[in-house]
Amino acid sequence: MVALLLPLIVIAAESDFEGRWRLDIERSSALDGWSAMDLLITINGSEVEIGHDMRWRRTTRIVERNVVDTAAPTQIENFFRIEQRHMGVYPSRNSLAAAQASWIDEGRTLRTEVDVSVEVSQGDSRMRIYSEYRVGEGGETLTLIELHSTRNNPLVYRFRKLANDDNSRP
Amino acid sequence: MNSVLKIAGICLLLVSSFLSSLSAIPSKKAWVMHFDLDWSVAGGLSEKAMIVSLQGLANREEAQLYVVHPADFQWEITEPLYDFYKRKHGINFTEIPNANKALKRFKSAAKGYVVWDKTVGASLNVAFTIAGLEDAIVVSEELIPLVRKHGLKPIDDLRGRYVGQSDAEIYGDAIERYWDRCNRDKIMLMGGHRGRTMMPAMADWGVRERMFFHDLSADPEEADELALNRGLLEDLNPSSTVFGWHPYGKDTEEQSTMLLSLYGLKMEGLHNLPNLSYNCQFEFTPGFTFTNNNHVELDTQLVAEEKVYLSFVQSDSIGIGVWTKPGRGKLPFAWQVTMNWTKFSPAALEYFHESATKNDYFIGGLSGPGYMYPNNIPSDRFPLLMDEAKELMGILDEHVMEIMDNSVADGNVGTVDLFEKTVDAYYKAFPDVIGFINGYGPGRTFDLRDTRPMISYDYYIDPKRPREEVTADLNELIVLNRKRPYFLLVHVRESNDVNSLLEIVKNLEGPIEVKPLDVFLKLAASNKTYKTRYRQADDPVHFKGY
Repeated sequence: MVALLLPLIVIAAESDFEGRWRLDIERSSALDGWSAMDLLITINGSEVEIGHDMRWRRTTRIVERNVVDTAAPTQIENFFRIEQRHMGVYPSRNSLAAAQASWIDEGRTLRTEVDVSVEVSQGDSRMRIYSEYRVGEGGETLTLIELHSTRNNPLVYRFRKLANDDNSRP
Repeated sequence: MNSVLKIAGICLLLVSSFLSSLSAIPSKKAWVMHFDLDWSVAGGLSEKAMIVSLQGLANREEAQLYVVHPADFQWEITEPLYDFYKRKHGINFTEIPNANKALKRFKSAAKGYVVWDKTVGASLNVAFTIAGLEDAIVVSEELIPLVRKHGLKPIDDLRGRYVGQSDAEIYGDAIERYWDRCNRDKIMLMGGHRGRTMMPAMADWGVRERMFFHDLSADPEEADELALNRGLLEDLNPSSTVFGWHPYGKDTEEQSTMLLSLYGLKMEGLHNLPNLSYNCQFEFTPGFTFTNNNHVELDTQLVAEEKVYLSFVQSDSIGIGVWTKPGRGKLPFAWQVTMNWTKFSPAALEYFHESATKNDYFIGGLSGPGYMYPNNIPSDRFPLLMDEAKELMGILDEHVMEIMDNSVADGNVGTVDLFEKTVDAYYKAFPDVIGFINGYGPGRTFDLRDTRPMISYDYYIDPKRPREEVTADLNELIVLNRKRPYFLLVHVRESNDVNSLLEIVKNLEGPIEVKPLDVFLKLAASNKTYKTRYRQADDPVHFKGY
């Protein structure tokens, strides 16, 4: 009986992820080179689209989307990384990022692991980005914990869910 | 008869030469006023605008009036420089406590007054232009009784003239009326703060030099203003200087600097840089020559070890920021010197030189003999401008050129890179430098030709970024750039302080050495672990240009 109910519980938890999430700047790791960020999450079967609606001051707004698949590894073109734009680290040209994703913790956490090529002053280099997207109790908060294979400090971004009819941008 | 005439002529020449040399020596007697930080239109602006216009007139023939600003004014050096004038030039300053006393002392420098309209911000710039041309001081309505009390007569009154007009209409009218009579080697872009606060602390210089004042936009979306702005720049003589700063909220620093660079002109900011009308009249003290804290000779050869070399640079003009902050001298630091101050403010340069520690190293910039974006400088103007830069660097004993081209960047992020042809032009123009550095935010332009490396910043320290994150960022760069030696050039934004950098350096991982910039570049010349790269056609562009 429990085994039968588990997929239903997972589906219910996953659906909590969908929607627009606004970064709580005060309670998050400092963005650098970005002023504000929303996450836009959409689930379609095993595919999860993670959109990043980014703003820099009043001059730049971009929306970049990564699609991961919880059923199989994928290759992502133009993978978007929440980069610290004051570092000399850039997306490598024409590179694919190898991505894996899965639901863990009974669907309360989306885990992704992406192997990304970046350009630095010495040429191309690699960075493995391990991320957990965790929805809080009640489905109103989302925490993104990001670990880089190249960085010993985790980056922690905390978000609050916007109402369904709130289409404001960050 | 001929011999007598010759001797008389020689005597006349000697006497006139002696007299002119006497007049070139600034008076030992001068006056000083202390300003507060209130530049609001509703508050302190009116009186300050009047005094800086009076300062420009009073200082036209000789250096008489100096203004000291509070320590937290953007230009923090006015007080130290005031002390320097007393100590090194023997100036005996008399304090002037208020505007009334200033008028009493200097009213004879003015032929009258011009009234600006506090409801129309641009009218203040028109009034400053008139002030320079007509030897007038600038007043708002409430100051008229005061200047009348001192016997000054009205010369012009702008109240009501420009109400309801756009800035393009106002400056179009001012160009018609005044531009023909204005200085064609210098122009005052009196932008910066707009609206409820304006900060025209540089107006003394513009009034003294009879410049045209404006704050016309360089944004293509403001087509009317841009057309007028371009018309003014086209009319300037070659190699002229645009003083002041771009108008906040109307356009961007990138647009403004790109525009003047397209005409091969130089920028000298900011709009609130005070006292140039006083400072310009001093030479270096007798016997003084610049001796930089050089650590290497031009032909020195060093060999880099397998470690991470860091070097720190501040490039936001030496007069603002880190220089007066705690900890200077505890780390090797390179300072971009505003080289044009050799002409406009030599005492300030001498002050910096004398207060430098052994860890302070001066470099030339930005991009040339003033602030300009080299990807945009016309190729026929480039060599002439760089000859001027070389001459100034020679005077200042500087051997590294700092380059910055933010024309397509977005503030302090985005592309700052140089086209290959721009890099070629620098290598050709500066055969005798130790090297070049590039960027403001991080950049990707790297090169090495003979012994001269060109290294871009790999990191920009945002003063608001938590120090722990800065440390983590630098450590991440060290991991990502795996080859050793790794040359990590760091740009320190002006409002950081050196003490916080000491903490960061302590927590970096690996074999790290912080080196003075000249040593850093010599080491970078010995082992090219960085990849040659120039600006690419498909690099991100924020502003598409003109």
